[in-house]
Amino acid sequence: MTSSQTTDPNVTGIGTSRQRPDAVAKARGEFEYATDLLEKDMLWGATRRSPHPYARIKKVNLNRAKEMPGVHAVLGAWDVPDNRFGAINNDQPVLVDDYARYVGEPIAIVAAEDPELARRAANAIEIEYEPLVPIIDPLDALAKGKIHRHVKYSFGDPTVVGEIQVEGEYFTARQDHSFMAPDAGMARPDGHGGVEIIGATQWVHADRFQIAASLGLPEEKVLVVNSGVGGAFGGRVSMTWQIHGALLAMHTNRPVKFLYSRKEAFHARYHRHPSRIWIRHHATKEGKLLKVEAKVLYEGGPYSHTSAAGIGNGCTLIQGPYNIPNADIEGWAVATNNGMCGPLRGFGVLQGVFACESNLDKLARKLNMDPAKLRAVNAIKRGDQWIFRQIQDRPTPVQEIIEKCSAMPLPPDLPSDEGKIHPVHLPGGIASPTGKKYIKRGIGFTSAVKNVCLSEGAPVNATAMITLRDGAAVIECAAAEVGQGFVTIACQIVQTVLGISEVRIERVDTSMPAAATTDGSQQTVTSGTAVQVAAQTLKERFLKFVAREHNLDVNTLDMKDNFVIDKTGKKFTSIAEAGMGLIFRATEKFSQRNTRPIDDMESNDPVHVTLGFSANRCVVDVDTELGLVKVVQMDVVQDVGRVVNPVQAHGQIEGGAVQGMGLGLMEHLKAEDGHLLNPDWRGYHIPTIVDAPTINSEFVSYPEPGYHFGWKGIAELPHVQAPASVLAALRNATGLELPMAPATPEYVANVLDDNEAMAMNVASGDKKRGPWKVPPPPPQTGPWVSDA
Amino acid sequence: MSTDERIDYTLKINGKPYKVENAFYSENLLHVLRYRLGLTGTKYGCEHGQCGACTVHIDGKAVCSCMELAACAVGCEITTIEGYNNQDGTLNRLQESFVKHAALQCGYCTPGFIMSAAKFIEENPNCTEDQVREGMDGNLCRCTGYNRIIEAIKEAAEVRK
Ligand code: FES
Ligand code: FES
Repeated sequence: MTSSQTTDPNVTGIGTSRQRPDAVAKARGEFEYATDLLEKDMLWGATRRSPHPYARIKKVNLNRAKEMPGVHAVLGAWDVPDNRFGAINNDQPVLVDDYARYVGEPIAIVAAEDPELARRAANAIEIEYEPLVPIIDPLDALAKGKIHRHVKYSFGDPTVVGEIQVEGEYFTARQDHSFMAPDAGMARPDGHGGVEIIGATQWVHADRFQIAASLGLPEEKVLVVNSGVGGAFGGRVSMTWQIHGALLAMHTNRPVKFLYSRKEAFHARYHRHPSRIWIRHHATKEGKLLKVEAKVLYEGGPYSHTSAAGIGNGCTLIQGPYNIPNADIEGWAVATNNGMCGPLRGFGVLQGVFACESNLDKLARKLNMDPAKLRAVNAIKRGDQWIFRQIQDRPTPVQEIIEKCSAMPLPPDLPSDEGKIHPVHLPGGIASPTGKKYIKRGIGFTSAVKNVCLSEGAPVNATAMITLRDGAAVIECAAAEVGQGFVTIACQIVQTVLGISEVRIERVDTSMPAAATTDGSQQTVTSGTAVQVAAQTLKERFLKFVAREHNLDVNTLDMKDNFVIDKTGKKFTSIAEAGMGLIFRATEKFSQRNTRPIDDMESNDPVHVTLGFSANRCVVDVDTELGLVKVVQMDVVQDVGRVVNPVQAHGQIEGGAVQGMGLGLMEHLKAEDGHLLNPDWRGYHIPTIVDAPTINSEFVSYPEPGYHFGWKGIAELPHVQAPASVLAALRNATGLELPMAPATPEYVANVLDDNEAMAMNVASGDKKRGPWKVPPPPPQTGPWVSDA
Repeated sequence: MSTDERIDYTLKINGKPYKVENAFYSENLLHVLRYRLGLTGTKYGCEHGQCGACTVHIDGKAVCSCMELAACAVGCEITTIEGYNNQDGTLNRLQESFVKHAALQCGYCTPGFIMSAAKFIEENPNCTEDQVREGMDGNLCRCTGYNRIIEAIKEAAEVRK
């Protein structure tokens, strides 16, 4: 596919790179984000948090804080009408009442006239703790039965043994979302006994449901408004300050603003599940895959959050985009006290794909086979069965993607004259101590699969309402815009269906019917489809009206270029005039096909709504002494269905690939004894403009059945496979196994030095090699409540 | 000075005087701009000098406003994105280039990038990609992967013949 690589405010409709509707405001700094909200008479909120990973709360005394001048409210757990909430299960306290189970867990909240006063008052709260021994090692959690979910299934003949077998144990670290705008927002009383929450979220309706429940209010008394969202990447699926803000606003009858510091955001929010996966592939001598076996261990936080869905994703898509006739899979999401874990772009799948791809690298080496060829030979095809008992019933261009990606041009070598190399191209970047003679180039190749939409029985649907008046349309659809560009494509869809150019989308709040959550790459295919269906219904209504008014046959009419046209394309009258000043409106709901939990053996529904595929070839330069790495280039080919906005699609791939490269090379949120060691951007590094490689992305585009325009969700795949690809390239350059992401310089250097103790220094966990022994899981899963 | 001390002072921002009253001496310029003066175009990202979202110009230099004590900026010429913007609501060449190249998604890093890049291209007309990477290293973006930001800055830095 060729596509213009720049945007244009004047192009309209599906397939064009229309400029984002918010681009001008954003470039001028006038777009309002949740952090920017200010209000007359507002108070500032602050949160007192647990300094212990696990402790019994013996006493909380708010009085000293309450007496401070300028302090308007100080609240503890007993002030919360229903003190349990959660992303899926209500198992998490709004404010700690009995036990604090991670460092940073909120215990009490304050509203004061000034942010500094609020902080000081929060510090003045007296809390007595009885520190308890935390669980910090996921293997320990497993042995103790602290299990959120246990998955076990097999496929085909699990006793099959291949001529060739390779196995390994692979690890991925705790990754932070590090979106640019920290958690913030405003809660204000609505003057009629209810409350309004204006913040940044991926799903206003899920927030409203939980806020109302915790406050003991009917849902209609809570209005959740999405203001500008400064990035999300899965990190705004569950709430942080919102219920606290609502409580304080109700108590003080004043607007209350929350604004987390970066460090507070690191502690208050969840992160990507660290993983430890043992995997064994069986294959023929020719490289045909026969069986996959895996033990998958995800470290979840102390509360269930979304861990069950994450381990489900990992235990299914560890298959990779390959046809494998036999499988034996077992996995656990366990509870530790190292902080909360939850969705991050590529939720649960990234870890499985990392293990799968890393082990296939090993297989390719063992067979002395080109890694791209090994993958192409095993590429899953339409009609094949997934190991989780689902027919691959939609376009499956895996082999094509792999071949296309391998054929993309490679970057030139570093110039042989050292003086000609700009320092930004060196491993280690500007001021790097490296020298050309230490630098080795490596190339890695991976392919990947990701589920599009939430899976395993989660309902996925959206409602959209469109209003047409005087030839211009307004869309109301509660799908959260977090930067991904739904606001652009929703307008493009309506432009195409109604044949008009002027379309606008309203700001999102809970007075609208619910749309899908911005999650699982599902917004285009779900809320986008709802918008398309609503526009289609609106078009039929409008043309029926025009036909009646003018005594015409409705079947001869269409809408194009802002005109009502007849069959021959002749312009009849402008759409603006034909509407005669009246308002035309349509509301439609779209639901994705049903899915079933992995272990539901009765239903024949699929586990995943649909699946997307991609390939990534990564080129790195490595300083083989110091372990410094420069990712030179990433070439990505992705199955994207029908593209709505090519530049936005490329943008998703580029951004996702660099974020994934972050986990491949540097992003490692470390925990020691339950305390985060590097909870800010001084210690937790995300890729900079120097680190970012050149990214070339190309599309493979087959219309996806089930959607009128054949689109497909794309946003997560580039992130999912980048860590595996970076590591594959590093292995190629160094000849080392490197089983862990990220491959930080210290890690690579230590492996190079054969320093095994350092080499396996994963955040939590020991050096035991899998498959490890585990006791049978207890009948009761879910977060534990200590019996201490 | 003690951390409790509150003071009044006047800052010169975008050519106009702004009175700051009863502020803690310890407040940084970013906080004062955003929450005392309502100039929220300058963004709050980390408050420890790592992300560049808070970039403003002080006496013609691009600096992280979170790293400056507001009370120490008295007497300086401070320019924020609000003052840098074309006052008729249009985009200037650099901003237009960002929009055209889709160098923004969530856009939260954008005002900081614009303020840094404005100084950078002033000093590096006709810059190369390598120079952009080196010179713009103080600004983080989590959404775009930077490729389009580099394109945008390079194009804006081209000196028209
Ligand atoms: S907010 Fe100033 S550098 Fe991040
Ligand atoms: S566009 Fe979101 S951080 Fe740069």
